[in-house]
Amino acid sequence: MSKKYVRYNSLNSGNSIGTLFSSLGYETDRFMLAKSYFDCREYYRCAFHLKDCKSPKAVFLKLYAKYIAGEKKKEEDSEGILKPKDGITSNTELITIIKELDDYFTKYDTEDPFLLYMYGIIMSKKKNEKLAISKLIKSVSLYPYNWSVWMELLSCIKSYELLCEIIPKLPKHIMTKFFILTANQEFFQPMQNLQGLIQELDRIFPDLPFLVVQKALINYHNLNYTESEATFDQVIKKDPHRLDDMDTYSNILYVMEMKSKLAFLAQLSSATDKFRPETCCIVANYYSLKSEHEKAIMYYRRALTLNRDCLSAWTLMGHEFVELKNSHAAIESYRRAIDANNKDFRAWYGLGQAYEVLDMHYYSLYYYQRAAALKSMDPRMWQALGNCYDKLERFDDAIKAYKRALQVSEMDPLILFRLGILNEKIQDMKSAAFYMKTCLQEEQNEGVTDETSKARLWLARYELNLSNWEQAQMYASNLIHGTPHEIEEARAIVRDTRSRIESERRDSFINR
Amino acid sequence: MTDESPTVEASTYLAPYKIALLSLITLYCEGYIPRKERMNVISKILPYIDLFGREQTYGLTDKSNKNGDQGEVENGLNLPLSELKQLIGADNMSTMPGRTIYELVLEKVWQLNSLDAFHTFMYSLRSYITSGKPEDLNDERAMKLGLSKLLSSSSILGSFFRKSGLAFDYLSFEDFSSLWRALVSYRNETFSDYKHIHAPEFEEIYDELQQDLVVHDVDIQGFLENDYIRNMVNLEIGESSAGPKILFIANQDLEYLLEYQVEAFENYGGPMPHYLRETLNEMIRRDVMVPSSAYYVRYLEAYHDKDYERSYELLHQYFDYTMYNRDRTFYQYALFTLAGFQASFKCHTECLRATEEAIAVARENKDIPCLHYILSWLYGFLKDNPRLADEFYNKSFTSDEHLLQFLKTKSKDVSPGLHATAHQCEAAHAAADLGNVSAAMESIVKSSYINMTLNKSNKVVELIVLLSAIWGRLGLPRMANIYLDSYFETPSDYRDGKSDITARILKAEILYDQGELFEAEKILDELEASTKGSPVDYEMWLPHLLLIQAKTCLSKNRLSDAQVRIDQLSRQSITSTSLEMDIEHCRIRLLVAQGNTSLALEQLSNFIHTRVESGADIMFQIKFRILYARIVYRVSNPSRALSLTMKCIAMAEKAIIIPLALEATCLLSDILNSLEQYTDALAIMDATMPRIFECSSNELVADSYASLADSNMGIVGKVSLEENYNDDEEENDVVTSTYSTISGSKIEIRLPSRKTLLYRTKTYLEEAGHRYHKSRNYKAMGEMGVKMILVKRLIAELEKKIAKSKCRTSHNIDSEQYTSFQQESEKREKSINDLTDWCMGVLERIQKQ
Repeated sequence: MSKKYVRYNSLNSGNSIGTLFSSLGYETDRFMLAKSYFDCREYYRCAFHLKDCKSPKAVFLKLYAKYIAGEKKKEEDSEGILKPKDGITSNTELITIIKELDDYFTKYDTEDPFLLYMYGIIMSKKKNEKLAISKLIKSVSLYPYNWSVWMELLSCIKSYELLCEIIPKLPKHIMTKFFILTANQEFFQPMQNLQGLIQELDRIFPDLPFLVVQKALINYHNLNYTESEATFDQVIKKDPHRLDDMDTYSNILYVMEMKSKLAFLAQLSSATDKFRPETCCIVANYYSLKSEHEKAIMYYRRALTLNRDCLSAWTLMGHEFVELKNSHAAIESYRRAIDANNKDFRAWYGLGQAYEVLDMHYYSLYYYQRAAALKSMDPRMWQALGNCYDKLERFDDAIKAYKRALQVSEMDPLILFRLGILNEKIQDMKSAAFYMKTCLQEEQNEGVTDETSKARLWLARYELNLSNWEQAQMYASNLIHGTPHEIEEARAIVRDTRSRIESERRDSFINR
Repeated sequence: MTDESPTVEASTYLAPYKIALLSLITLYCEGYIPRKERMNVISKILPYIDLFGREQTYGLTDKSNKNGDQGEVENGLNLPLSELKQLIGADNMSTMPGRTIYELVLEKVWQLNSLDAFHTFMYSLRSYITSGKPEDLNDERAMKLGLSKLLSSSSILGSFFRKSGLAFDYLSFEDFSSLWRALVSYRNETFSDYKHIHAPEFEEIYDELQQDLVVHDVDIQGFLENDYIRNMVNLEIGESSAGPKILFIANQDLEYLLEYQVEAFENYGGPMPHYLRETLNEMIRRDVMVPSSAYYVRYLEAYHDKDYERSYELLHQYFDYTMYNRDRTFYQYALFTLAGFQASFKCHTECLRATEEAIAVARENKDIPCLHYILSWLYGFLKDNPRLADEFYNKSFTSDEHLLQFLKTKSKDVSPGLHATAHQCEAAHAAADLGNVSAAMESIVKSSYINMTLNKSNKVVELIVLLSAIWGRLGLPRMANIYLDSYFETPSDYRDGKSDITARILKAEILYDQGELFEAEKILDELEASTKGSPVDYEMWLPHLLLIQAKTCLSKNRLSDAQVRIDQLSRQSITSTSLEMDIEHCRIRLLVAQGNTSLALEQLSNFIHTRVESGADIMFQIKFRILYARIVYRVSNPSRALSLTMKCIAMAEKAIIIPLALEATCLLSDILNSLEQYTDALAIMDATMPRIFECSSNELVADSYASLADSNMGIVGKVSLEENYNDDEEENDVVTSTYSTISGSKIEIRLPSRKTLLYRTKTYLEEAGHRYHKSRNYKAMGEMGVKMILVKRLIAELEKKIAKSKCRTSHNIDSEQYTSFQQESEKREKSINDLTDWCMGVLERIQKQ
């Protein structure tokens, strides 16, 4: 469900009609007229007919209509996705709305939840997050059933720490629980932290698709793809026309490389509605998986035309541009993803990668740091950081980063090998040898990989330097995989060690 | 399968049956088709792949069934697997032991167990193509892919693959998934066959409902157990599937089919195949994009139905869709077509307006070829409508010759075809306006040479028409016949329907002119049978048939029948000027035959003044004048008729129109006869007879014989009046007669004897009667009969006299012999008398009718 639709709906269903009318008083007729215009998407007309109204609901509708009209204009002026004017245009109505709101608040000194919500939106747009958060919290305290306020609040929260700070200030309400669950999901919190909360909500709302999907999302963020997939399967069977969050499901299928299932999902969703951003993302994901990057980009573009705030589309489009070696476009799409929602680590990571491709390692460092801050439990972020430091010859930092990566992952031979090499570079041969050996040990779990072979060769060379001929020979003779060059080198070591061992034997024999 | 009509969907190039063909060709590349079957299999499917082959597929059926029926048209758009099975042979074994080729194709098609598998298959097409360089053909790639063969990108199969791959690249996901659904629906009919191939696997599952899951990818089976979801994506499997049948059409196929249909329409007419019409309607109803030629087909259909309003609207609709196509604008063509359309509905002023605008627009757009086409068409149009010509030539070109000259000089650079047409126009012009015959012939040779080098067969008939007109003028219809006969001997593949009709009508007319009425009518009857129900064709041949029938009735003296025919003709819309003139000619003849001579004269002179003298073909000018002279002669004003006829002869001679000159001469001799100038008449006819025979027109020959007989009889009468009977007559064929000349001196001329003259007359009458019989001119035949009786009577009398005188002179015959001779001659006389009475009665009756 698009955000706008949620907002608009809350106006309809949030209040019981009776209370709404009583609060409107003699302005009821005018309000009804304006509301009808609003429903017909004639926003300025709606605002015009409410211009002299005093009741808070009417004022809210007027300002909200103006806001939507401004947003509409802004999008129309931007001339489409990634065009020269895209992102430059702004909502010109914001200033008048602020002025009216300020006037209203000073004049009447009331605290209406919807007006507060409006104020929150404006502040958030003006990047005054602190004020926005306080207004929005006030709004939800007065009227907790407006989910749009919660979503706006979430978009103002930039870090998990801030979220933790805010949670105590929130009212004690069932909606707060939903909010906490969603917010934690968005900040990639592990499942175990949320188990209790989910169970509690599950008891009250059994089989609520929203909850089920949240569960699946949390699983996804924690890289439990199979579980997440199964959960999504259930959701589809129960509610085949549901498209919300199905783009995430397609991401899961993408990662699991389940092509036929992804194709089926794409078919299913385009049977429901082919002009939903989610559908377009799913189709684009499918094409991306089939290495048809141009087509994928086309569908991402379509998704973005349908909804500019469709964050994952921006990021994924960035990925496609990277595939097409169009770093410039990739960087712009990633940047937009971040501007839409700066909690998306993939966009940060993507930006870092894009700059890295351009050999701007120092510059990409910033982006990797942001990504790692957002998703500190993901070894890939740390690996990327480590790699960057390595390239910048800041070996200590690189080692730290890799060590961190090692902590959050299960003994990845690649990380171990990199650590070994880095330690070699700072002349800490002992540590290097340790990591190399550990890397080699991983062969038992992971099977032979390039890294383990390289580690083996490295160890052979290492032992050779230490004159441990037999050790060296053992390592070198076990080398089966690798480039022809490596294998040749291993053979040379074997020959060398063999001759040395023999000469030693001979020597010892003679000496004896 | 449900009975309801299938849903129609469309894409640019791909269609489910093409997927089956692609699968078959991949089998060929993978080496599963045995060497000896390759040619057979590939050549069978070629028509469905290749554009040129496609024409053949349609062509195969069009001769046998021009109107087309469902199966045949569906062939152009679809090839069900069952038909593919027949095409490649159900029992043709592949190189895989125990499997037929068809089974392998099925397996390929059913192996596409998900949208993704289908995508992979389509994506893999490009790996079957190689650049076509010899060193690439058997490269490692083929080995790697396990292929025994790669397709060269320039080969037919290779380009089919390339095109399919490109079309696939252009498909959006939605179109792609609807293609997939269509494929699922397409292959459904072979589910039992497929189960049969994999019998053990299917037998393991006892539940019928579960069976169809086997053919889907494992990953998505979970979803498909849910009926609702299965319905949503429309993946019902099995012959009894409840899902709607999808007919997925490749627009390109449809375009070919429509183009073929346009051609068929233009050549044969006939109704649009029901199936095609349904498909088009369904497509339009469902807002599927239809190729713009569909509108043109609909326009042609309406046009053939003579539905002015509808076709007018559809024409506009078609051009609104095609105005801008392939970076070119088509305004001038739209206007040009509109002009042609208006002309065919006889809206001549509208037509001229459209043409003028077309010329202006073509000039503005510097579309010289189009301009020439328009002008060349216009020239022909104005020739047919001389009254409009004056109006037009006042505005633009100064005269038709000017226009023709322009066309002749400029068209050479534009298009050779047009150049040929220009020469043809010149020949026609020369033929029509007293031009130089040899120049006309030269133009025809030039034109036909250009056409021959262009290999254009459709112009041949126009040339033949022109040639036959020229030969006809020269009084040598046999020459025209030679061309026509050679045309009919060409294989029917090279002839198109319209030319065929024209040629047959021409043939019938020539036959009629020669007096072969039976043959002529037979040809027209055949034409009626072969062009069943097409209104345009009907319009083409019906007036000709009616005219010939009217003329025949007139000869047979069935005047009321003739009147009926003429009335019918007057209700027809006649587009050709010459036909119109012919009808008018016939109508006036009918009036004369009905005895309305004064009315006929009045109308005729009117007609000559208004229509004939203002720019009509010289041939008609003479023809009508001869008719006028004939009527004048009939109303017993022979001396005026004489001068008129002399004028006609002079004109015809000048214009080198031999048949008319001869006809006029024949009339002249009749007039002379009536003026009792028998010897002059005889002399003239004697001189012209050879040319008359050359003309090989029965009617004319008969007329001249009749005239000869009249002259002879006249002479006989004169002889018997002027001089005494010569007893020596029987010995000599020639008698000497003395004519007094004006100067008083006596000249002895030798005339044939009376007996000879009578016998000669008898022969002439017999000939004339015979010829009249041939051309079914019963009235004239009757007259000949009566004359014949008179002549025979005279001969009998003469013989009697001779016998008597012989008896008298010789006294050698005994009385018994004489009596028997007398009895015999009396008997003969009596029978002749009876016959004469009877004949007179018949004649009276004929005249009464």
